[in-house]
Amino acid sequence: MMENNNENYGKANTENLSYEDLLLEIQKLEFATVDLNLFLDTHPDNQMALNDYNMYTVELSKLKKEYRLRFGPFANFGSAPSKYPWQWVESPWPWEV
Amino acid sequence: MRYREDNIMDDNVMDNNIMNEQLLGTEESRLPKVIVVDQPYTDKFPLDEALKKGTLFPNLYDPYMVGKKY
Repeated sequence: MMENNNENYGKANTENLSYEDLLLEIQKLEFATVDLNLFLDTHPDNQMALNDYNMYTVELSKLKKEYRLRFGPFANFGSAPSKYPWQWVESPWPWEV
Repeated sequence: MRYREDNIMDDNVMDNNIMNEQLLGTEESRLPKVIVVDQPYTDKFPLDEALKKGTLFPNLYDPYMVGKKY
């Protein structure tokens, strides 16, 4: 029914993505990794699921780093040091995205 | 001595019956049981589709539909 779709993560060029598109890519990867997290909690020895989890996690880290470099901190605390002045308040409100 | 052994056996049978009743309930009052089928790792939705559907796994995708028989 469905092909095993790994979407070639890690190979796509994400540097030219807009703010909204980059955020959407991050949201997609965060969703996939948390769903794999739940699967792996009950199937810790499933090598295929673990491979997918690791692949998505590497890509997620990459995209979050890119987000930080281009748009500032990804979360309000704990994700990255802030430049002066406090950067978090410069990022758009959720309804502005 | 024989009598005593029978008694012990009866006690064990009775203990088992009580245990079964506690585990399974009686004919009159069955306790609820949960059966979870193991989820096989087969395929995945493309990630944009997964985000919209609320699951990465096609074998878990079963949204409530009006009129659908469950």
